[in-house]
This record gives sequence, C-alpha cells and structure tokens, in this order.
Amino acid sequence: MSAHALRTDADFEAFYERHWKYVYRLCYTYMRSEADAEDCTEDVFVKVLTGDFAFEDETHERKWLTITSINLCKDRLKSYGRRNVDSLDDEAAPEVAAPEQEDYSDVREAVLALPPKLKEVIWLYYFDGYSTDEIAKMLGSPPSTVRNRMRDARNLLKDRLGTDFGE
Amino acid sequence: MNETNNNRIRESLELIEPAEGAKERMLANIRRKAAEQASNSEVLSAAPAVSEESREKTIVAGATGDENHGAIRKLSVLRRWSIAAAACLALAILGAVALTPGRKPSDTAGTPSVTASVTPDGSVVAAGPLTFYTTAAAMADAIGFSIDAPEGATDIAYAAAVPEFAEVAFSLRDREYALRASKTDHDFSGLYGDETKPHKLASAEDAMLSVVSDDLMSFFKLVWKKNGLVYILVGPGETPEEEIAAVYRMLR
Repeated sequence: MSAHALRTDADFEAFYERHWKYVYRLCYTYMRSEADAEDCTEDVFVKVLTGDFAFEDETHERKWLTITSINLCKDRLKSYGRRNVDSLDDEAAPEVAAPEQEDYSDVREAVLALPPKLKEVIWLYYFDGYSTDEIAKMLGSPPSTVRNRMRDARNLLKDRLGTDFGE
Repeated sequence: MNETNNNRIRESLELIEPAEGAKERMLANIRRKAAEQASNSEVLSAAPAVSEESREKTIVAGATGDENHGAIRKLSVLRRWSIAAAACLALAILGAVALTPGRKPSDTAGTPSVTASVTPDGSVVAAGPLTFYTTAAAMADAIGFSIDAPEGATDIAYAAAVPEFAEVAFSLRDREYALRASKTDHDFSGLYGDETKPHKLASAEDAMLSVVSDDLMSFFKLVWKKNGLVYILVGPGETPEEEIAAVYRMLR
C-alpha cells in the first residue's frame, strides 16, 4: 500500500494541507471569483475524501488534482452557462489580493481572460512547468494541438500585453 | 527576456491568494459536503422515490450524490442551472456590495453561494443572496409576491434572490421546469449562450419563446408579463412547443 493512501482523517488533512492553495489558485484561474473558486476547490477535495485513492507520490497527487480541478471547473463553467460573463468577471476581478510590492495584475488578468482551453495549457506550461508533450499526455490531446493552443494563448497575451511569451 | 516574461506569468498566478479563513472554511465545507453526499447516496439507494429530505439535500448540496441515479441526475441538471444561474445573477446584482475590493472574509455571508442549510423549523434556508424556502407562502412573505408550481407538479423547490426575483423549480410530466418572477424588466433568466430569435408562443400571444443553448445544454425560455411582474419559464430545450404552452396555461 502506498504511503500516500488517504486512509485516515489525518492523512486527508495532510493531503489538504499540501495542496489546498494550489487547487484554489487553479480553480480561481478558471472561475475568476472567490466564491466559485472556493466552491470548486471544495468539490475537488470532496472527490478525494469520498473516493478510494492511493496516490503513488506527491507528483501523482498533484497531477490528479490538476486534471480533476481543470475538468471540474470547465464542467462548472458550462453548467453555469457562463460563457458570456464579462460583466461578472469585471466584478470578480478585484477579489484577487492586490500585491503591493510587485504588480503583475496586468499579466494575471490577461491570463485569466484567456478561454479555458488556452488557459489550461498556459497553467500547465508556465505554472506547473510541464513540457508540451507532457501536457498533451495529461490532456489526452495530440502534441500539435497543445502547441497550437500555446501559440494562440501567447498571441492573445502579446496582443493584450505587448509582450512576447516565448518558449 | 522571454525567461523573465515567462516567470511573470507564474508569479502573477502565485499572487492569487485565498481570503483569510478560506482554508478552514473550505475544509469545513468539504467535510460537510462529503457527509451530505454519503447521506444522499444512502437515501437514493434505499428509496427510488425522492424523499422530502433528500430533495432538500439535492438542492442544497448542488446535487453531488446523484451520479448513480439516472432519474435524479436528469432532474438535477435544471436544478443545477437554476441555482447556479441564480447565483451568477446574484453576483451581478450584488456585485457592488458583495464583491467590493477589500471585502473582509467575515463578510462572506453576503457572497453568492449554492450552499445553504435548513433551519430547525424548516421555514427558511439561507446562505448568501439566494434564500431557499420550503413553502410558496414563506417565499411570498419575503419577496412580496407569490409564485407557485402548477397543479400536479412534483419535486417543488422555492428559492429567491430577495428582493430581485423569486423562483419555483418543479417537475411536471417527466420534465423539469423553473419559473421565475420579478418586478424588474431586465433579463433575469440567468441563461447565457446563443439565443434564437424570440417568437410568440402559439395560442399565447403575450408570451415570447426562445431557445438558449451552449455547447452542453439547451433551455427554452418563455417570457411574459402579468400584473406588473415579469415571468420567465425555463425548461429543457427539446420540450415541444405545445407542451410548453400547456404548462404556460396552467401557470397563467
């Protein structure tokens, strides 16, 4: 049995402690509202708590959480019928804690404004540090699709920020 | 240069910070939701018919325990839309208040949420701008006007974004519907997506029918006015027009 099996309450709490902020940030990136991000984060961990999982290691945990969070957020966005929620997004944006020392709000808002399909490759590549081939495996998409999405995402970011985000 | 820019993306996302107290709040909610899910699963496996208690839980919990029950899952699709869309609309309505920059975590009682709980007397269930009621009368007291499900409806649930709109969700002849009413005349349906051009519902010239759909779902939207209120009836997009008209007549 793996050392990362979640058999006890203490196991789960340790698991939550390791990953809660990561999952929240990922969910916020999709949902763009504090309330929705918390709700989705909760539901991701509910799946863990109510499932019978035995992760191989923390990398396995993180990968599972990443894919589960992305899928859950995308499903939630679809079921909310929130394809056209620019006005709501504008309201939600101020909920991000505004950093005082370094202001990356322009970059953050540009990433958050990307369509979900482009957002996920940006997150996996830039935040998690996966290669395009690894991302393709995780998403079950051809590598060419991932590269195309990366290109589209970078172009949109460049349009918005006037900055190149190359490999 | 690119390396620096690439780091900016990561660092910008790392600056997304959960609100103070979010960690503990979410952990408590995770435990509650998991317990509700387990409870719902037990109810569903024990009784094919939806009990009053489980119905409330389905609504309250956002239907997490329904994956193993086809009928309930079908039922929950519209319920999920109903509650979630209401929450989205409430976001817009209450945005100026609830989403004010610098809002303290302790203010989260005012944020939109799809969660709620039943009070001991069973009269009012509330958490955030959406408030759930167990009777039409209780909701009417809160919102100032009354709407109810038609005769013969089952699985009835009441919710309102006071004072904006009231909603009653119900099942009728194996279909799910949600009726909303408001004193405002903007589109409070909460539906987003591609909408067909509204046309007059046959045999009901004051009601306009359209279909709103996105990649996953499709809903019809029937809008009419009566006695200073705007009504919006929503149901599955595939519902035949004559059936929509029949429900409309029952509600009218």
